[in-house]
Amino acid sequence: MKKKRKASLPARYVLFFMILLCVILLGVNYISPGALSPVTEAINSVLLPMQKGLNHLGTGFADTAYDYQSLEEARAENQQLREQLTTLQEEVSNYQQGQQELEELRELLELSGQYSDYETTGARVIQKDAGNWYHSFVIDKGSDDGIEVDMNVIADGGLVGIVTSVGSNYARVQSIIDDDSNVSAMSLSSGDTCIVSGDLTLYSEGKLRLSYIDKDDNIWDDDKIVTSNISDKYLPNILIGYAQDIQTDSNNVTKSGYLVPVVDFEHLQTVLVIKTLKVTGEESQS
Amino acid sequence: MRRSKRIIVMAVIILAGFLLQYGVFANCPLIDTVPNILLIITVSFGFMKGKIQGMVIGLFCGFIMDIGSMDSIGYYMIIYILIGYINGALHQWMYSDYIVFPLIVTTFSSLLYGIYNYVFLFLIRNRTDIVYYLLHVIIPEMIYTVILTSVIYQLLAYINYRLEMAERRSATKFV
Repeated sequence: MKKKRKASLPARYVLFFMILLCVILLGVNYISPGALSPVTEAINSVLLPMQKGLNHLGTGFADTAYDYQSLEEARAENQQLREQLTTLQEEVSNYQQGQQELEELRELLELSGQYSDYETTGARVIQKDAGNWYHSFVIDKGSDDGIEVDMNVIADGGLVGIVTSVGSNYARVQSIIDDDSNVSAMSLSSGDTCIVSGDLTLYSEGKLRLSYIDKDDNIWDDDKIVTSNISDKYLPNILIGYAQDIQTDSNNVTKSGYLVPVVDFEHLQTVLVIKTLKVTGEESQS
Repeated sequence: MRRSKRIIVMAVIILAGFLLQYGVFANCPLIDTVPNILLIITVSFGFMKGKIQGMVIGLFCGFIMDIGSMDSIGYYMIIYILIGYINGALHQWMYSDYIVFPLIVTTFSSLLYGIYNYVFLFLIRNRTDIVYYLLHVIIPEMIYTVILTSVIYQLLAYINYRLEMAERRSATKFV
């Protein structure tokens, strides 16, 4: 064996100083969030392009395997969808009539601006979280493309999450299924509010938790749940999913249940970022 | 310089581990649970080279994890440094051709890592159902990690052996 180099400091002191360094770094981050983000951004701008390449490789393999497997399913589904299409076409024509009427009425009420379509931009998911505790991902657009923190992210016509940090050419999105995510929501039909929160224990079933519903509120199973207009970060009336198993809590004051999201979080590859930020009450009143 | 060679090789290994974990495993839809390759690297080198090197490798592995997760820098560094130190302390029980012992230490390191995450990410927010997290997150990740260790440890041990041989050669050359 080679003779060991004489370490000038015993290992436990080194350990102590290293941990101290980490605690200081965490403290800096806590006191002024974003103070260290130039470091993160600089390193990420080197690492992310590499990951993007590997990502294509990884998904490429899986996609080919998946393609063959799902061909059979796709055929059966195609048949089924054709049947659905005819019924839907009929419904669409009905809606179009209703829409026209709605627009006329809105003009009367001068509400048209409020519900106009938001400006969106498409983005590709380039990295998912490598830990097994989080459910957030990185998209390939950042501040250069006009992305800002707190912008809402949608896909498949439903809410996916919210932008939590932005680099020049990437942005991190926390999805609503993340254990740390809470969204203020409401029932589309009744307008009664509730909270949609992610829960790791429910994730394998593909559900979210629906809670803080008043006992007398009109939220029932299969109700459409959308983002509420009192939320301070989420734009109103974005579809989240459908309520399920609503039951009165043991305290006999509130109800809670589950929510089945419309977005397929397992196979998320492209998302839309809404470039309109929610205007909070204080600003609009002033 | 014989140390610079080791530094370059280590940097390449950590980068490769990071890309494998974040770029390939995390994005492959066929894999639900992502094995913690950076943990394997920390455990292996701590175990093979002792406390100081284990801690330094842990520091960089944790740092790159923090960068990748884009959260606060320092969170993962703490646990990786600790794991590097603990495994470095077990260095005296290392016999180069035993694979069972590295597997055992990885098992416990992965468990420690899982519990650290559970306590600071979940228990702190009053999520008390530890059994669920243990069965659905910590243990699956541990199993994947241990399975991969049996491959990666051999590879890293070989790289370490080659580096040591090179270091020894250059050491005798100059004496």
